[in-house]
This record gives sequence, structure tokens and C-alpha cells, in this order.
Amino acid sequence: MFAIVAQKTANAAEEERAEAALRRGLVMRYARGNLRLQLGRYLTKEQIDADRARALAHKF
Amino acid sequence: MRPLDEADCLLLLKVDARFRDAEARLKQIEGFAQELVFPAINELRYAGNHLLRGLTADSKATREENFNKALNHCERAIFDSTEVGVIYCMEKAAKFEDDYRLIQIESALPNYVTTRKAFREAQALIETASADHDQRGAYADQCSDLFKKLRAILEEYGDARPSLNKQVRTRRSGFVQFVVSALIGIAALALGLMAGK
Repeated sequence: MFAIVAQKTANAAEEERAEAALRRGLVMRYARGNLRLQLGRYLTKEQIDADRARALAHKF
Repeated sequence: MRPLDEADCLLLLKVDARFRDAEARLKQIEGFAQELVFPAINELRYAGNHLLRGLTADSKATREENFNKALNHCERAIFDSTEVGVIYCMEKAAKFEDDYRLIQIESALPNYVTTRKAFREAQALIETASADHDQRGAYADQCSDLFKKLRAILEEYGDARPSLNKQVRTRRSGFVQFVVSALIGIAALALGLMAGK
């Protein structure tokens, strides 16, 4: 009986840890994305079109 | 809202797989180029919109139509993010060629000529894909394979840079030596001529 309860508690703790790690990971990821947005490190359609034209014009 | 049947679930799982794929590629490019790709993010936004419309639809046809639209937007997101990766690699390679245009790159990179072929291949693919807007999704996998290839080549280019930089320095110092000796020669000649008069 005690073993089952202990196992359940361990599983719950493990699940909680995994969930917390996932949440932390997601928050960090979005924070990184936001930081890039704040730093202006993003590519708009116009920028990509210009980069594409430049890359296509180069003679390899 | 209509409950989901088996066919809906299968289509939904397909959208789920493509959405995750698009997200993974977007993240990969974000890490590689250190930039967010807005068009791909927008495509995923549209995909989310159609997904919700499909889930809350009252008829099977509307649901199917919206799930298919979501799938197409995911394909576009995959293409857009991968295309940016390929363009980024091409730009890096062009910069590499420009940096070492005055020296023999083959001495440090014996397979340099072959690697350039991959960039020409990338140019052809991007050009075709850009012209054919409706088929962009279909180019995604080709683009992805090419991106992996170009990334590996760029790593080789990066490894060759120290050796090529050494060559550039040697060439530069050789040129400076030549100019100095030429100036000394001209000065000596001028002095000789003046002394002769």
C-alpha cells in the first residue's frame, strides 16, 4: 500500500518537474524570440526579397 | 460545432506533423542565422487560424477545407524558413568568395570548385521556386536537403579561413615590399640623374 502511494508521489513529482522544465524552456524560447524582435533581428518579406536578389545575382 | 470523426483526426494529425516540422525548421534557421523569419511566422499564424476555424466548423466540408488550408500554410512556412536558410548560406559563400578573390582558394580547399556547384544548384532551385508561387510547398524538401549540404560546405569554408587569411597577409606584405622597393629604385634613379647633370 505504502509502496503504491510512494510510487504515485514519485510519479507526480517527476511529472511536475518535467512540466516545469517544459514551461521554463518555452518561456526562455519566447524570451529569446522577443529579444531578437527588440534588437531588430528579424527578416521581413522585403528584406528576404532583397537578399534573394543579391544571392541570385552573384556569379558562383 | 461538429464532433471529430476518424477522417478529421487523420487530417488533423497530418497538420500537426507539418506544423511541428515548420516550427522545428524555423527554430533551426533562427539559431543558425540569428534572425526571426517573419513570413514563416505569419504562415504559421494563418495555419493556426484555419486550424481553429476547422475545429469549430459545423460542416464536414468546411472543416476539411480549413484543415487543408492549414496544411498548405504549414508547407509554405516550411518552405519560407528553409529558403531563408539557403539564401543565408549563399550570401555567406558570396562573401567568402569576395574576401579571397585575389588568392588561390583551391590551395586551402581542394574541393572548392565542386562546392561552388552546390551553390549554383541552390541558385537554380531558388529561382524556379520563386517563379512558381503555387508549387513552393513542394520545393521545401529539396530546399531542406540543399540547406544541409550548403551548411556543411560553409563549415569547410570556415575551417579554411585561417589558412587563407595567412595567404592574404603574405600577398599584402609582398605587395608592400614591391611598392617600397619600386619607390627606392625610382628615388635612386632620380638622384643618379640629378647627380649626372
